[in-house]
This record gives sequence, C-alpha cells and structure tokens, in this order.
Amino acid sequence: MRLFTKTLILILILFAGTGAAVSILSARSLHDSLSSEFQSKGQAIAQGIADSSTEILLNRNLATMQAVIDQFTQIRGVAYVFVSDAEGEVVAHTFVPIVPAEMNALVRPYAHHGTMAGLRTTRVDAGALGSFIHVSAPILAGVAGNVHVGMDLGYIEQQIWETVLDQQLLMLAMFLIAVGIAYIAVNRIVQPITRLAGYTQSLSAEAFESGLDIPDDILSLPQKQRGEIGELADSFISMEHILQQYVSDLKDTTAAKQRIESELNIAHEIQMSMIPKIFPPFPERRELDLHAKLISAREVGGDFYDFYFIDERHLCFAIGDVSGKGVPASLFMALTKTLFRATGGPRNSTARGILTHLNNEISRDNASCMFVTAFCGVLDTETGEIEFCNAGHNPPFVILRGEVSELPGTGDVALGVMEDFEYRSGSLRLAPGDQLVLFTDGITEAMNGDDSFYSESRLSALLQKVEGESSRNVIRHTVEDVREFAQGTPQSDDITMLVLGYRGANAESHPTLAVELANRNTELQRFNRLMEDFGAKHGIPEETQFRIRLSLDEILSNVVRHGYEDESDHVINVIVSWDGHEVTIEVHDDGKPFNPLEAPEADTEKSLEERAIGGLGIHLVRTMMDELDYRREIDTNVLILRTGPRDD
Amino acid sequence: MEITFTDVGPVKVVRLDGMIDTVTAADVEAALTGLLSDGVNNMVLNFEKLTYINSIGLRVILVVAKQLKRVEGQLQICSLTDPVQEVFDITGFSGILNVVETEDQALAAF
Repeated sequence: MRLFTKTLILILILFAGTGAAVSILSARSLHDSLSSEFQSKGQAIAQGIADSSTEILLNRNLATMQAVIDQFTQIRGVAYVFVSDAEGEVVAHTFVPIVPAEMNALVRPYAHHGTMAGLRTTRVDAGALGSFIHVSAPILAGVAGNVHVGMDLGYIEQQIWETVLDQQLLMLAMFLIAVGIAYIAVNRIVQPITRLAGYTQSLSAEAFESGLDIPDDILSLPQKQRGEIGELADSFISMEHILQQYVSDLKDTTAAKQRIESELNIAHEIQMSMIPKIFPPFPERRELDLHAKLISAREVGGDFYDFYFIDERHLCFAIGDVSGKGVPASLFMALTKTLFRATGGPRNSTARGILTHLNNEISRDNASCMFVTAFCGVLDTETGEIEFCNAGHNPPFVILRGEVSELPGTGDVALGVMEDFEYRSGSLRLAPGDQLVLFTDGITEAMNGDDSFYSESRLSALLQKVEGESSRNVIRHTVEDVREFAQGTPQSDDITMLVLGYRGANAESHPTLAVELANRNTELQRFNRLMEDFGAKHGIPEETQFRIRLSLDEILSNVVRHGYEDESDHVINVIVSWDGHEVTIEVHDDGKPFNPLEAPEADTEKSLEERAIGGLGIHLVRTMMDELDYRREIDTNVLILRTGPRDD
Repeated sequence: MEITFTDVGPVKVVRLDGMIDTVTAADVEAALTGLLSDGVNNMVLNFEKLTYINSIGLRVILVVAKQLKRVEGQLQICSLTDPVQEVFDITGFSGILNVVETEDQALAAF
C-alpha cells in the first residue's frame, strides 16, 4: 500500500495547512471583533452607570451605588466595576474583598486632575489579575467622581481558544473521514494492480508450455473494473495469449530446425555409409593398391566413388560429381550410386555399357534436370587393362612408369543430360607399379584467399613429386597440399579422390604376422617377442617397432582391462602386415564396443596438480600411429592402425 | 625389470632397468610407494637402462610425483633413453616433471 501511504501524507499536509490557516485567520478576526465589542460594551456600561448614578453619588447613598454596580458584573465579559469620588477615593467596587493596589493606581490620576471630560479607554495589564479594557466615565464631568469598568481580555482569549479548538476538532473529524474515503478509493485502485503485478511475477516463472492458466480474478477484471485498470488487465490477458502463441511457435520452429539438423547429420552418416571407407577394401587381392577419400564441404554432398568386383577378375570402379550441392545433390548422388551398383554385372561388364545404362535410368523422368559427371572403369586384374568411359568428368591422371599424364577424355556428355546417348569406350593398360588417379573438381577448383584455383597443373606436379608412393599416401599428400594451398579458406565443394594402383597379377603378398592372444596382460610380452622377430626379419626400423609395441600395449591392456564384463577367456586377434613402406595392424576383439577415435583428447598442457591420473594411453596411440580406423563388425571391434618409418 | 636403490646423502637414487609395461608397472609401483611410506621424500629416478614405458608406467610416475609434492619432497628424473624421452614429450610429462640429462645434474638439484 505504498500508494495509500503517499495519499495519507498528502491529505495530512493539506489538512494541517488548511487547519492552521483557518485557525489563525479566525482567531485574528474573532479577537478584533470581540475586542471592539467589549470595548463598546464597556463604554456603554460605564456611561450608563455614570449617567444614572449622579443622584446616588451626590446623596452619598453608597449602598445603592454598590447594588447598582453589582448587577453589571453579571454581564458577559465584565470583570469589575468600581466608582471613585472626586477625591479619587473608591466608594463602591465589585472586587472581593478589597480593591487591589493596581486598581488604586488607575484611580489616582483622575483625583489630581480634578474634572475630566468624556470617556477614557485604556488597556491595562494588571499582572496576576489579568489584562483588561479599562473604561472610565466621569460623573458630572468628574465633579461627582468616576465610574470604572474593566472588560476581561482573558475572556476574549478564552473565547478564541475555544473557537479554535472547535475548529480543530472539526478539522480532525473531516481529516479522519477523508482518510477513510482515501483508503477505500486507493484500495479499489491498488488491489487489482497488486493482483496484476503478482500475476506478472508468476508469469515470468512460467514456461508457457502448458495451456493458459489465468486466474479467475484476473479474467474478471476487465468486466469489474472499467477504465484504465480494466484496460490494463485486458492487455495483460491478451499479452499472455500472444506470448504463449509466440513461445509455442518458437518451440515448433526450433524443433523443426533441430530435426532438420539432426536429419542432415543422419543423411550425412547414411551417405558416408554408402561409400566404402575401409581400406584396403580387398586385402586378399595383392594385385590391387586401391584407396579413396571423400571430404564433404557441407553436411551432405554430391560426390561419390565406388568399386566392386563384377566377377573374380574384373574390378569396376567409378567416381562422380552431381551438379549442385546440399540435400538435392546428395539425394541424386544416392540415386546414382545405387543405380551404379545395380547396373554392373556379368551381363553388363563394360564401363561403356554401365554408363550408357546408368544414363538412361537417370535421364528418364529427370524432372529436376540434374546431371552427374562420372568416370567409370573396369580393370582386368590379370592383364592390368582398363576399359573406361568418361561422362563429362575431369580427365583423370595416369602415372605410367613414373610419368604423370592426363588421360584423354572420350568427349562424352554428363549422365542425365540426354537419354539414349551413345557413350564411347577408351582403353589403357597399367603395368605393375602404375597408378590411375581419379578426382573431382573439388580438388582442382579448391580456392585460396586470392580466389585462384588449385588447378590441374599443380595436381599434376604434386603427383609427379609423390610418384612411387602407395595410393593411400598419394591421397594423403594431395589432401595436405590442397589444405596448404587453401590457407584456411573454407572448402566450397566436396573433395573426392580415388587412386587405383596395379601391382601385377603375380604380386607377392606382404609379409604378415597373425597372432591369437588371450585376454591376459602377460600375453603382451609374448606378442612383443614375436613382433621383435618379425621386425628384425623384414627390416622394420627399431623406432617404428617401438611405436607399434607401445600402441599395441595401450590398446590391448585397455581391451583386457575394460573390454570384458565376464571372467571367461577371450581371444584377441592381431594381424600385422608390412608392405615395405608401411605397417598395418588389425586388432579384432569381441569385447564391449569401444571406438578409440571417439575418446576425448587428453590435455597434455596441464600442470602436475591438475593432471588426472590415466587417460594418456589413447593419446599415445594417436600420436604414435599415422592413421587409425575403427569399425564394429557385429560383435567384434575392428581397429586398424597404420604407421611407417619416421625420419625424426 | 630390475630395481636398485642407492643412498646418496639424503637422496634415494632408484635405477629402473628394463621395461615398464602393464605387467611390470605393478612391481615398480610397489617399490616406489614402499619408499614413500618409509619416509623417503627426495628421490632420483635413473632411467638410463629403461627402454620402454607405457601409459600405466607413466601413471605410476605421476602418482609418485604428486605424493612427493604433497610432502614438499622432490622428484628428479634423469638419463632418459630416446624412446622414453619421446613418450615423455608426447604426453607432456617432460613439461610437468623435473627431467635432466645426467644423475649428477639430478643430485645437484637437492
């Protein structure tokens, strides 16, 4: 009730001011009027007594004189009456019991001056007796004496005080009434506001999720309180409706956005799961050194690659780039990729046949007029011969006997542009050690800060530089070089690359060490001895062996410690192979699913006190190895580690 | 795994020869925490003949370093072999522990 307190103070000031002003004014006018009334009254009484008492006085009939003056004391305001003779001697008076000394002093002057003409009026302050209007009237011009009448000024004061007191009481009564009225009025205004304020506070805590829960007293306010308060309540109620609508809209939008985002993520995952990502894809085919990589520019992209054996002898492979980006491109990519798999087979085993068929499938009902550039090849793994068809795709590079050159295009149009187009074949023969490099324009048209392209010539020069490296390393060097070229400029298009190396039909298989380990820590020492022998036999450098030993130590002890919830024995398979450049280690365990690639990065910058004990093993493995791959195969964790000799 | 202790003045020098792996880490931990409970708070770990250490071994070293720090003692580690030095560098241990080249340097720190 802060409003009421303010009102109260206001009323108080108003009444106090008015009361004081009225009292002062009325006291003054009352004083003036009563004074003059008393004065004329006193004069009239004095004159009257003087006129009527000449005889009595001349006859010295003092008793009568006393009787006359006594009756005047009954008149309101008359304090005293006394009569003095010509000698100034008081002959009759109304004082009880004797004439006070102060009064004698008033008489004396008249005695010495003898006769006096007319009335004299003075104010007398007689100390303890009080203040008086003293009127003297001469009897027979003073010859017979004087009549003195005293009008009591104290009576006037008393009158004034009584009046003022009455007024103040009246004011007080009015004040109390005014306060009462103000209290009721303020309450009527404040109560709904207080209720609205409380309601607003409860609103701020509300999430606007459930239905509206406006209290009835608020709902009825607009009807009960017309005017500003009602309007305010009305605004509140409609505000809550709008807020709730807004919040529910916002939630819908956010949910929709989240759904789209998570769907895009899922789409990306599905898309990525559509292309083969585990390399080497055919470990038993020693004649092949096949590797590929796809780095999406956005969540979902339009690039793809694929490969599969049409029969025991022929490998079909392809790379493609759908026009446009984002969701539409990715949908079209999925379509093309699926059709590509479905098209090739023993009855349609040429690149030309596959692309012709694929083109017809895509061109039919191609309402969105999207198209795909694609390069498709079929490798005869016995001869190294490749029959290929290029549907508007970037001409690949081929590395023959260490020389990089561009593979001339077949001059054919992209898939989806023209139905029943007659695609043409090209052919090429890979000798052992040769490589075919397929890529999309995400590489050659990667831009740097100066808006210049990475370009075919830079790619060609790089391929020449890394000639002789494994397919996997060719791709790694290319991706690194593109990154270096871009200098942080965001990737604007998918980057896709597929490198097919041919090792010849009679390629020897790589030296391999396959060990079955039990889930016991001591088994590791057995593996270490075997690894040491294997490394020594095939000339694997000591430092590489050390990193392999440490990484497997971390991986295996982790599996032994955390992988199994039962107490029974398990078998962990470790397969190590060495191709002269690189060691590939596969670890298969049937423990709990665990992807070390998703383990949080250890913070090696922390001080001794902050360092958590543990969590370093995975960090060591990540650093010690060049590459880690993980997949879960039904009930088995498959972890692939790769590393080669390091210079430092 | 061979663990030998030598007293050099108030300092306990511990030589760890061999490999600290998942199996031997337990022995090393037992030996070192035994020293700590005997009241040793100045310690030098000589890694001259230590050819191998894994994350479990690092954990043991970290435990010892933390406990010595708590009793305001000191731990010096010296004579790291290349592979062990690499592991120390990768895990940031070279930065948080007192690692010096020779045992003399380690003893001079007390």
